[in-house]
Amino acid sequence: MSLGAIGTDVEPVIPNVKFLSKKVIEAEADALLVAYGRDCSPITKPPIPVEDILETHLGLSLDLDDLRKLVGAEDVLGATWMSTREVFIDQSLDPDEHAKMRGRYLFTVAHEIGHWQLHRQYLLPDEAQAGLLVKVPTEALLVGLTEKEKRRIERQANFFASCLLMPRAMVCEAWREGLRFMRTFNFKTDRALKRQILGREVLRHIVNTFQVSSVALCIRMAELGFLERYGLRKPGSSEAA
Amino acid sequence: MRNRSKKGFGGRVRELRLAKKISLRKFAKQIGISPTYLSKIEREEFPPPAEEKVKAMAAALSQDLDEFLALAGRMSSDLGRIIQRQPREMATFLRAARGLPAEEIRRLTEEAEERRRSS
Repeated sequence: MSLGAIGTDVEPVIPNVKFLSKKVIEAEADALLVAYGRDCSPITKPPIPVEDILETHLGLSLDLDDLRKLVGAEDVLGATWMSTREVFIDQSLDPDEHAKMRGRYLFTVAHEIGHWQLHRQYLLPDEAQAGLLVKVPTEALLVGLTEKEKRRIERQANFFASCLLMPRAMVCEAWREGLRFMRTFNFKTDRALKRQILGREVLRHIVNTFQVSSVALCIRMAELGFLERYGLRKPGSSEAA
Repeated sequence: MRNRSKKGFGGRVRELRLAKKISLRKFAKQIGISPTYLSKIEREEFPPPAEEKVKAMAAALSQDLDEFLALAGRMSSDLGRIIQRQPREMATFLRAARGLPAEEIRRLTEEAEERRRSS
């Protein structure tokens, strides 16, 4: 997933990417949900309509295409062209063609929203320069960034996506509800194992309601402190790292 | 990524869809095509879809069916059948009516409907 922008022989001037605390990023995601609720319709339950947020609230266009061909890079699943307000998702994630990719698709959409909300000031050209600039493939736009800054930008967008798709209050509520439901089943085993089984089943339920991948959910749950409490392992892979 | 100045069939569909606040995937589902295919139609990388799909789009976007088909470079299949049934008369009639102001055509249409009702 990467950030698109602009530039030709004029190299974009990119100021240092600021550090943003998790608290600030989460507040940004929450503020976007509130703004969407005010302008479109309040979100009362999951899943979060990230496509509507992107298209109808933020006024960006959303398209699916062969991004690897468009951008000319192998590992690009999403790209944002800031100046033309266009977001492209690789067609290999099309959830209507590949149902198993639904979580990954929505996460990529949310990740690109994260770039738009948090990073567009780094890559939008000055108005005065706009006439000189044309679009180039996404990767090239990060030309002015150091490796560390690129990683920072991706990490920030991932955390934003995680907060947007799984808002703290909704996840906590779903967790409590899931536990209440699971406790109605009376099964005998030792206490620690029971907690683990309960936790795992509730996670499975939340994955379906929030339409996220289990890796993304586990990372969010670990972030919110639920996994440790239920003796569950943190995921090794890092979709939202 | 694309030339935004062109506003053919695809561009018009996107404009109308967004005005109705329908997301790409929701609209694709409504029409019965894949979002990737719809995305390419809207960006005019692919030509307009088959007549049935254009009709479904017109209905979902509250557009006049014949105007929407014309925008897609198509003609409703029932018109083809009408002309084929009376090729000479219908072709002559259409050629004669060509270029008349819309108001005149409307008047002729009403007259034709009146005659059909009374025959």
